[in-house]
Amino acid sequence: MTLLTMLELAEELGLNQWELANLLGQGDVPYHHSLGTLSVSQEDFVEFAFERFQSDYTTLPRPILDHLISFYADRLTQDNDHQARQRIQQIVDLLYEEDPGLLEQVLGEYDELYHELVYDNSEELVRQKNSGWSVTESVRYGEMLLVSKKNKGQYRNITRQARTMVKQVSDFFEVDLPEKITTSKKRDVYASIRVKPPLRYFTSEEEAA
Amino acid sequence: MSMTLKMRPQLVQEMRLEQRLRLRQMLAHDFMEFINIEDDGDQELLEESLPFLVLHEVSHPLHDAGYVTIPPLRPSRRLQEYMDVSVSQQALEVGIDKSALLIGQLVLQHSEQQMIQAQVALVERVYRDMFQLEVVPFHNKFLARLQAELAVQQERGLDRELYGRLTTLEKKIDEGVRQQLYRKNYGFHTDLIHAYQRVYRGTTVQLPKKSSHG
Repeated sequence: MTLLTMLELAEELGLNQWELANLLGQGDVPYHHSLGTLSVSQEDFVEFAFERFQSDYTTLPRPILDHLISFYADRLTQDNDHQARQRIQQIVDLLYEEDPGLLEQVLGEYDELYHELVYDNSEELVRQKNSGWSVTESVRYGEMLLVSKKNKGQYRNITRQARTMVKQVSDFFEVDLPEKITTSKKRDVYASIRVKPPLRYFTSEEEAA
Repeated sequence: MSMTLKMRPQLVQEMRLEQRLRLRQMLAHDFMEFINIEDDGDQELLEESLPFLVLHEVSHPLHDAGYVTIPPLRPSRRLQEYMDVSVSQQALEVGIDKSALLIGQLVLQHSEQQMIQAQVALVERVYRDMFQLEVVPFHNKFLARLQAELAVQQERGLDRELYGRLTTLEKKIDEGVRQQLYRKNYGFHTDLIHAYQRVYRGTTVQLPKKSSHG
């Protein structure tokens, strides 16, 4: 269990301590007292935030939503945590239904931030790339995103159009569409989506050529 | 604790998977092996064929709910010898394809030409994958369904470009099918096309009874 002082947690979330205290006061997060400093466990806070998100996502401040996603993403990537994967899917599910705009915003901002960091500001990555060993994990993802970024807007537009069509037909015939797919079918579709050929990355020599 | 550079794109990937899963759920499953919704190179095709892909899929529950009437397949005597489950299954899909065309015009106010174009774009991909690249196995009943639909659609007063695109495609598919089938089976195939054409022509969509949509 990771303990964070109130000060650290507030900084992490981009809130001042009063805002944080106010937020915590509305939930049921156990505090720990250690050498005169108030602390809260990371897990307890995340659980509190997730419950808040589920009960009414509109009351969860955006920094906390980012924090929540970051926490689960860390768990997912470091430990391949099944529960973290489920939670991320629950967050995406809920936002997809309730607020697709916010979901797209979240997706978009992660992309923007990533590109800003990797391509504009990261001298280290530029140095690595120029020295010919650009196959770090970060650059791999970066290349992948760079390719997909070009068509990202178009893809979102397609998804939106499809959703609108289904809604129009549903409203016209007063029928719920489309029918829900089963869990096993969903899993199959996931599996088929995941099987992708590996991307090829150019070294700086190839790029120069 | 904040997300590292490596983790952010992975999360984006996770979220995109979820979104694409949702999209895939809305698209015609019959055609999903011919289009890769993850491939940016396929986005243009996806966009062009989207009304057909979506409306085909929503036509299934509308058919179950009684809004779509598909006439029964009336096979010729020769065709009766070859009847099996997949022939009937494709007959149902013929009606569903027609339903997509009608609902596109009725509900979404697309022109008939737009709806036909949406389907032709997909059938061009079917031809490519089945005959040129040979990455999808030859499936004569599925092709008979598409040929039947193209044959009826070309009678519909299309503009010159789409008409040319459609007739060229129909001819190429017919040549491909002839090469694959023996003479006797080709006769059966022709009967099947005619039977499917009757289904396509006879399929109708009913408006909701209490609707004020006119």
